[in-house]
Amino acid sequence: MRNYFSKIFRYWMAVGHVIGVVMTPVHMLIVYVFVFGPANMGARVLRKDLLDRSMRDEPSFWRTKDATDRSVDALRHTF
Amino acid sequence: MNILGVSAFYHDSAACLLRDGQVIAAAGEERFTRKKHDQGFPMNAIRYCLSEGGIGIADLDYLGFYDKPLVKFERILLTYIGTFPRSFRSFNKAVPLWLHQKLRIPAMIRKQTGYEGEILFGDHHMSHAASSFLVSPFEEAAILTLDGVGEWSTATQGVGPATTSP
Repeated sequence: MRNYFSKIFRYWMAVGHVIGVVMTPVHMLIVYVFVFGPANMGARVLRKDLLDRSMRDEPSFWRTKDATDRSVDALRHTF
Repeated sequence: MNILGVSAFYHDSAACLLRDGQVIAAAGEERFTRKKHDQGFPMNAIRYCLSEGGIGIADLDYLGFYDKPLVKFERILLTYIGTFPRSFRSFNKAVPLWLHQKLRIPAMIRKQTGYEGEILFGDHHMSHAASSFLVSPFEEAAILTLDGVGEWSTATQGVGPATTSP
């Protein structure tokens, strides 16, 4: 009996995997097109350089880092 | 003070145990799993480090992770916005992984290790700099890090100051 159920479980998990392989890209495409697409257009309209790629009048790509808080407190966050 | 450093979920997962600023043990997970550049959670390496140190997970004062996941995720999301529509292939591959695994790193660490203490998250390039400078013979040094990726930086420069305590 146990063998029988474990076989069903294996087949069910395999079907679940196939559904995941097919549906994940579909969901990702929907999110990409309907969230990231409009966000990209918004950034273009507002002329936002999200990735800080333009040089403007600056002499260098180097950025001075703010005086980082090196206390243990600053390390407690994942951000 | 016992501190366990953990690197995982990118490439070459590893663990390192420090006691009062001295390296007690360090190992790459691939040495135990025989899987080159193993990126899985380094449970075997952690067990090895703790056993070399003669301590259990509850004896750790801190557990350190090598970057700040949320800052990196912010950079990734803004990159996908900035590079729309060319970045779908990468988006489709990376975002499910982030949602499933990388955004839950603190919870995963606790679940895998049973560790209940504090987890610290260092800046990616600061971690690189520290892993070179703090084990070097130099009292003081200029430091340059160059890496393909980090939170936002890919290259940093700075000074490792002289210090008398670890």
